[in-house]
Parts: sequence; structure tokens; C-alpha cells
Amino acid sequence: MSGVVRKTGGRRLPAASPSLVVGLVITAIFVAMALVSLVWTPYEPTALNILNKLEAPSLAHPLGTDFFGRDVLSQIMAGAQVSIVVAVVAVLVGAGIGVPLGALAAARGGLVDDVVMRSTDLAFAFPALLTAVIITALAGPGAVNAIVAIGIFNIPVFARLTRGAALGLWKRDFVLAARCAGKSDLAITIEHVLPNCTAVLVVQATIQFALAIVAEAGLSYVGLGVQPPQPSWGKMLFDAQTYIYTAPWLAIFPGLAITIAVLGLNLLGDGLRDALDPKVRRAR
Amino acid sequence: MSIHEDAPPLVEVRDLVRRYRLPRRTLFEPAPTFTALHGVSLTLRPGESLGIVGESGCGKSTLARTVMALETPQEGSVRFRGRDLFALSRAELRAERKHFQAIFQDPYGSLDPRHSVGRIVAEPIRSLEPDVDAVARETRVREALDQVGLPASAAEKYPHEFSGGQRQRIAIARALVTRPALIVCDEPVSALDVSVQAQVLNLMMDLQEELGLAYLFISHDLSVVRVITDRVCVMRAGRIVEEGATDAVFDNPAHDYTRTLLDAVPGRRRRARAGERVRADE
Amino acid sequence: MSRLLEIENLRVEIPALTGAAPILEGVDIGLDRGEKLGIVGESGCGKSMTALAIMGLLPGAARATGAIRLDGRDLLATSEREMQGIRGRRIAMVFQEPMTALNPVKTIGAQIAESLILHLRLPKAQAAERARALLDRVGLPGPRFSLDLYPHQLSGGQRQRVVIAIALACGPDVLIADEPTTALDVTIQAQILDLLEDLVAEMGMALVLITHDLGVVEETCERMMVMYAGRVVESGRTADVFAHMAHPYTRGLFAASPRSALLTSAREPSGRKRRLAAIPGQVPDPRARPPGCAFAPRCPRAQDDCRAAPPPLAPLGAPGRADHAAACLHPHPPSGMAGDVAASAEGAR
Repeated sequence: MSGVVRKTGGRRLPAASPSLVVGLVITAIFVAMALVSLVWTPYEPTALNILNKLEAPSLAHPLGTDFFGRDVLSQIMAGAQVSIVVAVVAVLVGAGIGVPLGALAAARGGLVDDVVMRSTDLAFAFPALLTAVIITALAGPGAVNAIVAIGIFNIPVFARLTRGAALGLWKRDFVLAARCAGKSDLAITIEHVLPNCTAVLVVQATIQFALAIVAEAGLSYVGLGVQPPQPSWGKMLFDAQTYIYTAPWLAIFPGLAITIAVLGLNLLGDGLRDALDPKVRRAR
Repeated sequence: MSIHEDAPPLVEVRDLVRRYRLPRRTLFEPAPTFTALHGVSLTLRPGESLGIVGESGCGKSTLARTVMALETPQEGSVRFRGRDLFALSRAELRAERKHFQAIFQDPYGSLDPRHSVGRIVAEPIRSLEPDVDAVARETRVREALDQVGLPASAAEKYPHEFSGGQRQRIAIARALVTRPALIVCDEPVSALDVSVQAQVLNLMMDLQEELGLAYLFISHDLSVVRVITDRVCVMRAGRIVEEGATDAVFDNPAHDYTRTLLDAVPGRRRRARAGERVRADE
Repeated sequence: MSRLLEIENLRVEIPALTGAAPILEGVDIGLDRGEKLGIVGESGCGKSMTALAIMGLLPGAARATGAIRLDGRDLLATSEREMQGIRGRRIAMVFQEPMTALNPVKTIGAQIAESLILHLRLPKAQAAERARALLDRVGLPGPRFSLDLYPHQLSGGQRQRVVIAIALACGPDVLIADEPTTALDVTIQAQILDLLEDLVAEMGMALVLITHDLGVVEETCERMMVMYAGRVVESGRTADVFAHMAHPYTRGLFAASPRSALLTSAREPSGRKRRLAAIPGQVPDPRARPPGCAFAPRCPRAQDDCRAAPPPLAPLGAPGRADHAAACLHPHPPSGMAGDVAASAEGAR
């Protein structure tokens, strides 16, 4: 995500706000955790060790162990992989389809606009998670189907946002100037409209990342997401509920991981909104 | 001015009617319409500066956009150098576009904040004259920046690094870069401070003399129109109510509305009233 | 005897925005009931900042020093809580944009009555009655203009009349109008200025009219101040300032305005269009103002001493024009402009 910052901020990167810094740090920690878990975790995350089951946090197992004696820290680290991959891909799917749809609706107007917007209304009318449950129930549980299900519900979010921002930009004089230069609507959309939407889109993307992590946890929680033995934060929460009184750390730590990751992404979004706002930049 | 009168017209606008559909009030009635132009006709000769003056909502901006073929009228025609713009194919219209360009009111809104000045000024060449290679394009951009009094180094910078007056110079450079015969100016100096406004108006007059440009100059500001135009059309509610040589219209307005507009200008008004008071005392 | 509004050596800085450079410096204003003061200048000269300072509405990061006294009471030393009782009640403001100054989801009647209920504790029925009378007074008579209308049902000029009614609701002592006609068409502009003038005369308040338009000040205000780069560069009775135009900036501003061309042909005898007397260069960035007179880099009369230190606003000492002052070491001599102005006034008719 830091790559995005550098690209859109360009040479005019302003002084970072506290929320941007904190958000970046938290997000970086989670990304680093996921990356490190690919090559190293304190213990094999899926290794069973019945002798050490349900151990409270200790020096050997900083976050304790679960019913099968698996190390919770290792599982959270490996679970970050799943959460991040699911969230990134789902957001990319949503943005990849939603942004062009929204841009098309704004550029064409009229009937095209009506059709696209009424479809998004329709999609919004369904409870998102419930439909995701139906999709994964029909297509079978698994990480890929979870991504598709969450991604589909990101489409209308990005479509609406892009349309709204693009409509405002189509009224701006620089778009009029581009039309005077004989530019086609497609060229104007690519060269003028979308680059000026990046700030809002990037911010929304961080919010959708956060929501996707929660959604993946939710799907895994009801058993429709990632399948065992692959660890996932939602799955860990689900397994923890039986031991909520005897081994509360099993619920607390994955829950904390989700909360902090979502908080970090929201802060990052807030910070990016300020950092990418040309008006803020102009004032400096 | 007399020198233009024998030349064939550059722009001939005939009986333009432009209606807009407003949002429906109820599902069962037809959508109401708003007529922005009620049969407007005008002629603009090469090298001439024609002012369109009127209050907000009089249709002057719609007229400008229709002349630029950015909007299609329901009735009437716009002939540019003898060719009906609305009868041209897309490709033909594109080819014609390099001969007429535009400057807009808001020097902050008319430049894409994410593009460098060089790219902004080059945009019309890129899209209207694709045969021009990168080297020639750069030369033309530098030339245009020079014509508006900006250094070549400005091309590397971004719009936010410039003041309002400089941005309007950039917008003028973009309009000049395809070497057009006509520039349509929609309130080009209304957003500028007085001292900067004068600089930009002087620049526009210089460019007109040097390059033989024609201006279609839209403004609500009568003083600005008097400074820069040869002829003026006064618009009200979608119609031209008075037309003539600028000095003649301003010195001897024939239509009541023109007189009302002129008398409302601050400064002029008080003097007018002071005059009345003096006469009353006598 | 203290005056109604007295500003002494007002200095405002916004360290976060401009560093140590003040956005406003050494501003003095004295205003009595029934007086109309015009403040003229280009964007960034500090005229709006002066208005916000009087209202106690400076942005949070701003620091103001000096004194702003209303009937002898220093507003800069007044708590925000007490300022809320003064704002709208004793000092009211009319803004440039009538669309954004009104709340789109409340009726105009409710918006006028709001401050009556808040400040004067009027019962609702009585507040509505007063609101009706105010609307009548600003030229929106019932039943055509009901209290139940919403802002979007009115034109720009009508909205500005509502804004004025709101400002006048509690009978303020000082009315600050910040570019009240800039967003309006020229014919409407004239009506609104007439209305403001009549109301000031009728209610005996003091008016501070902020504008970029010399013509508006000339015909509305008996006293005026010209500001440039955060300082007052010329002040005095409007007639004196227009007759003399001592500061090169004042004169430059007048000469650069196409308004002067409205009165005579904009052509030379040869038929060539006459160029405007533009002021070269641009307003300096507040962060990088020159050490001396801020206008010196653009000034045709500037000499070495102008670049040493900012000249103070000093009386010009012309007989019978005691108030007329300019912050200039080499002001224009009194002749010249007076003749031009008289000539152009003749050309007007």
C-alpha cells in the first residue's frame, strides 16, 4: 500500500499527518507479519501438540496455545496471509469492475447511468454478508469463493463512489477544455477523470480492505471461508468460542488482531484522504 | 472595424434554439423544458472581437458552448469558415477544432491539477494534430508559453505552483498552441484581481493584434467588454436585444435593457445620480 | 469619548500558514454610528481577515494582538462565550455567497427568527412577527414572499436580501458586509447596495463594506481604506482619496480597472485598442514579503529608501483633509488625478 502513496502523492508528498503515520505503521506491521510467516513462524502453525493444549500465554508461547496445542502467535501470523490476500483480491475485484462501471455511468449519463445505478441499488438492497453466505454455500466453501463473494459486494460501492466523483469532474472546466481539444470521452475519463478520483478511491479502498477482513472472518467463522487446516482469524475466533471461559486468550488475540488491523486501515484511509487532497496540498 | 467588413465571415450563427429538459415534477406530466437560446444569430469576421454581454442565465455561456460544438442545438446552424459544424462527421469536426479553441473563467478549474503545464499546453496538439512529432510539439509548447509571457521552465511545473493570473496565461497558451483563428473566451478575467485582470486583458489585445485572432468574448462585466471588443451583442433571456459597434452601443444605447445595465455599474451610477441631483438643484 | 468601534494596531499572524509573517499588521480603524467605511483591496490583502478579526471568528491557529474595542470593551480579551452574545446581536455580518450563507433545509422565516429567539429571547409568535416585518423591510413583501419559503425558491438577489434581514434582526450596532454584491448580477448589485445604504441611514448603525471594487466604495462609503499585503496603504474620506490618490497602489488600482474605460472610448484615435495601465508583477506571497514597502517591487515611484522599512501610515497634511493618510515615502503630489477624475465624471454623462 505504501507504493500507492508514493505514486499518487508524487513529488508533492506533504508532511504526513499523525493518523497517516500510525495507520501506515500498523498496516506495515501486519503485512510484515504475513510476509515473515511465509518463511518463519515460532512454531509450525498447523503442528499439533496435544501435550501443550490450552496453555495460557507464557514465554514459550507468548499468546498461548489452542485445543490442539497449536501456537496462537504462529496461527495469527499465518492467518494474516489469508486475511490480507482475501481482502486485497476482493477489493481489487470490486474496484476493477466497479470503477469502470461508475466511470461509464458518469461519462454516458442517461439510460446507461440509470441501468448501472439501479443495479447497484439492487445489490445494496441485499444484506451483503447473507448473500455472501448464499454464494459460498452454493459454490462450496473455500478461500477463492470467499474472495469472489466479498468482491462482488465491493463492486457497487466502487461504482457509486466513482460515478459521484466523476460526475463532479465532468462539470469542471479542464474537462471542457479537453473536449475542445477533441478528446473522446474514453480518453478524458482515462487522462483527466480517473486520476482525479484516485484520492477518494484509495481512501475507500482502505475502508473496503478493513471491511473485507471482517467479512472473511465472518465467513470463516460460519465455516464458509478458508478451510482447515489453513489458519484464519475468523476460523480461530470460531474455534475459540467453546473455550471462552477456560481459555479466553484464544478469542482475545485473534479478535485483537482483527480490531487493530481494521483500526490501522481506517487510520491509513483518513491520513490518505488528507494527504491526497489537492486542496490541502495547495494550502501548504 | 472597416478592415474586416469585406472579408468572408469566420463564424456565422443562424437562428440557434437550444432547449434543455428539466427534471420531471411528477411521473405523469411531460418533463418541462427551459429555452436557453431563442433563435440567436450573429456573425464574426476574422480578426474581430465580438462581445456577448448579459446577466447570469441569459444564455451567453450556452451560446459559447454551442459555437464550440460542445452542445448540439435543436434548431439553427453554426458555420465556421463556411462549413456547418453540426453537419460534419466526427473526424471532420475534429480536424476543424484546431482552428477554434477556448478559454474559461476559472483559472483554478480549467487546468487539470494532476498534469504538468507542459502536458496541459500540449494536449490540443496531441489530440488534434497527431502528425506533429514530440520535438516539434515541444517547440510549439515553448513558443506558446513565450507568447503569453511565461518562461519555458514553466512546462515542468504543476498548476498549483502558479498564481491565478499565471494560470490564466497557461490556459491562453493552451488555446494558442494549435494556432487557431478563433478563441471563444467565457468570462476569462472575471475571477482575477483588478491588477492582474488588466495584465491578462492587455495580453489578449496584444495577441489579437500580432496573430490576427478573432475573439468571441463572453462576459457579464460591461467595462471589460468595452475594453476588448469591436462589436457587442447584449443578451437577455436567450435573445440578442441589441447589437452594434461597441463604442456606439455604450455611448448611445438604443435598448432600455442596455441602458439599465450601463446605469447599474458602480461608480457610473453614482455619477449619474449626482448628475441628476445637480440638475435638480439648478 | 470612545468611538463605537475602535481598532488599534491590529496584528494577526497564522504561524502554521505563513510562519512568523503577519497576515495583517498595524491596522487602525475608528468608526461611529451611522458611518460607512469601505475597505478595498485585492485578494490576500487582509480585508476579509480584518472582518473575521472583528467578528472574533479568526481561524483557530491565528493569533491577534492589538485592540478591537466595541464601545470601549476589548473584544480580543472577551471570552468565546461572551463573543457569542455579541455576534449577531451587536455585530452582524453579510457574506459574499448568499447560497452558502443560508441553510438549505430551513425556511427563511425560521432562519430570521433564530437569532431573535436566541439573543432577544422573544417568544416564537413574536419572533415570527418581527421576521415578517424584517422581510417586508428588505424588499420581500408578503404574501408573495412567505416566511415558509426555502432558500432554493429564491433568486440570488432575493437570498441576499434574506441574509441582510438575518443580519439586521437584532438591530446590530455594526454591520460588516464582505463583498455582499460580488456574486450578484450588476442590476441586482445596485439594488442591494441601495438597500444597505438606506438601512444604515435608517437604523443608525455603522457599516464596514469590504470589496475589491473601487466603484462600489466610491458610491456607498464616505470613508475608505485601501489595503495591500496586510497593511493599510491609504485611508481618508472617500472624496479626498479619489481626488488625490496619493499612494501609487491606489492610483494603480484605479488605472488598471477597466471601469475607467467604460466612461470613454477604449480606442486611440488610430482605432487601435487602448491598453489598460496594468500594475506589473503580482501580490507578494505572505511568506515572502519584501522587507520594505510591500508594493515597492511593483511601484513606478519606488526608490532605495522604500526597500528599507515599511513606511508608516502618515497624514498627508493637505489643508481641509485632516484624515487623509498614506503609507508612502514618495506619494503622488495632489495634482493630476483630481483633474482626471473630474474629466471622467464629465464623460459619464
